[in-house]
Amino acid sequence: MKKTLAVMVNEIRTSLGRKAFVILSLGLPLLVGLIVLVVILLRRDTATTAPSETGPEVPETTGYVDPAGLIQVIPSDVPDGWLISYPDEATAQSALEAGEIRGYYVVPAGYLQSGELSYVQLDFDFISGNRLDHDPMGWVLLVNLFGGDEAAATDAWRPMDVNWQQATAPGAAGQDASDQGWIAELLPNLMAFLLYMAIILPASTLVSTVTDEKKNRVMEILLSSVSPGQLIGGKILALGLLGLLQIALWVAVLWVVAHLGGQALAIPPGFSIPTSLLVWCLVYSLLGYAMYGSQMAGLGALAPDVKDTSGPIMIVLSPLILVYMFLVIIVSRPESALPVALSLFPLTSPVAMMARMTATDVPLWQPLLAAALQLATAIVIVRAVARLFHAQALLSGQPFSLKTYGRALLGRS
Amino acid sequence: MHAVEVHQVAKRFGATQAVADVSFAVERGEIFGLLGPNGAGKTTTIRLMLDIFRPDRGTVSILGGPMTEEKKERIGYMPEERGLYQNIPLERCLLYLGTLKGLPRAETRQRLAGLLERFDLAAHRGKKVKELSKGMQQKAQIISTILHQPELLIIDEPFASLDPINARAVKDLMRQLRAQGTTILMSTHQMHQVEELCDRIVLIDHGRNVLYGPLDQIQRQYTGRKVRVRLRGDPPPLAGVQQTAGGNGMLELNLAEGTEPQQVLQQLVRHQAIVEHFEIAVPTLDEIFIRAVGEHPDAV
Repeated sequence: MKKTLAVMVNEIRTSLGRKAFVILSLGLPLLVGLIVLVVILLRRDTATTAPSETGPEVPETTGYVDPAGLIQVIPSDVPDGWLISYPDEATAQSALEAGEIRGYYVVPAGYLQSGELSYVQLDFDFISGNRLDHDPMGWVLLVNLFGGDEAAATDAWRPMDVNWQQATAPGAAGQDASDQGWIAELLPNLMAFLLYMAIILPASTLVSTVTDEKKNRVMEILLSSVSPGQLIGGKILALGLLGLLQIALWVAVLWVVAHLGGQALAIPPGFSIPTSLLVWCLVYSLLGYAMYGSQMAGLGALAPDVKDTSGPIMIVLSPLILVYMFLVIIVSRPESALPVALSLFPLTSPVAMMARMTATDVPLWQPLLAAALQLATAIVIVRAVARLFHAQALLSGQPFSLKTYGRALLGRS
Repeated sequence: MHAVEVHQVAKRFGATQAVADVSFAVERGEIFGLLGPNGAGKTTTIRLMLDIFRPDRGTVSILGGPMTEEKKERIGYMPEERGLYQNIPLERCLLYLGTLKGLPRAETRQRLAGLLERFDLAAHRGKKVKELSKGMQQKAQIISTILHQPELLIIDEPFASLDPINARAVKDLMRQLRAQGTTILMSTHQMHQVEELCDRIVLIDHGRNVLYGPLDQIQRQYTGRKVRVRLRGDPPPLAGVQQTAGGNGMLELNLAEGTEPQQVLQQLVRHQAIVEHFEIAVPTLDEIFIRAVGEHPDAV
């Protein structure tokens, strides 16, 4: 065990020294997390006023010209001096050009019939232009349409006073995706991506670590110190741990999004990722890694060079690639036959089941059955691949092909 | 108790019989030479000794019995195909290989510092292995082999890639280790190094023993087939001499089967030749190697 741990520690250090691995597995979640944090902080800083209980947020000073004569009162929650009345457009234009107001509304005489009004500003502001909030002016007009009755206007403004409560998990957030905004729509894809990365990256790295040692001709020295089992065991453990670290980082990013994103990222109140989903994510990533990582290690054991493995790697990983091709269907129609089949077939189920579980409420027996099938498959694959880890294969420089690999797995070479 | 006992081992890879029947024993504290032409089965024999491969037939006893994980820590092995991790610093690479031999990290670090100094690599400890010259990598390989102070050292071609100065340093090191009680099994093609260092040898060809025993005894076995003579004047006709060669006034006489050196000397005296120098030539190991292998062209 001591030597297995020594191999594991060295493998972790070596993998963390590989730029591509660090960037993709650790750097990417950290970068995404950093960007999310920056966005949250920036949006919080730019918010001018706390949300009003009755109406929308109030922007900086704005003018209006009211040929329709509609605006008789200014609602009580609009700060003094925010909305300035101008007798005509020429005066308002002068104030605009003088920088006294950021823009002005013109409420035309036929507003009550057409419902149209215009807003005038000097230049299009690329930063704030798209986000210009006209709701405060709408609130002013609404109060005046109700003859100054702010209570009635409030009821009209918010006809439902929804009391958000966390329900037990249909899908990720306890509500339909349509209620949960972009985060709920994106979450199944995110979870599928997370699983995909957590399985593929460490598994692919496993191939290169084994072939690198063959290429550097260190293998024979290693085999005079450790057994093939200790060598491969240490490597599989190391990359499995790094895979878990990768998942932990992504989960941390999702936690930041769910708990700190709030209004800044338009995360609906009450949104959360159920703990059970994260536990399933952990289980499927470990089982997925066991199935694919062991196959990759087997490729590394037989191939003299990592260059020889690119074709076979694509074929071994094709079930996962297949899931990605059908991800849109899995997410949009998670209860249809194909997504259910893909989420139960062991080689596709880690990613497909996570995507389904995030998109809809999956009966418990399905993830349990999927996990059981994955475990059984992993045992079969690990046993078959274990046959490849003997010194003769590891020291061989024989040409490699998928056929060689298949025959070796079946114990025919 | 022998450090190594190899008894009638055989190993086949597919259609190739790599080792057919090899037997030898290595005494504790000696330098033993495992010799043979290319493809003779030397590397496979070493791998069988180290339990990297399992023999199809025969037995191997190492340090008093079958190979165990614990024994791997008492053996240093430098294979013919040199290899170190190329993309990591030299010191980290050697520390890792030392740790795999069961050494505590602090002790490995301490021993390594001394060896890096001894082999003039201390200034390069932070460099990536691939940045070192071939000779430096060879020295680093030797360090990784002896770092854990093994009882048994198995070295395949220890002098490859070394300049004469470093080759001498390695020879001195091997003598020093032998003096300290380390058993060394060396496989090499450089016969003059074997003559200089080895106490006993086994010569294998086509996977079988050809010669085995103490080096001086083997040399004596092949002695007597050649004499070196310097005469004043032309040599007389000599019976039982197959071939003569010479230079600088010295004649080398190859004796026919059944002819003894004394008979040649008697003939010279009978012909009243003036003999300035007469020597029974001890054959070089190179000559023994060529003759022995030539005598067993189809050893399998």
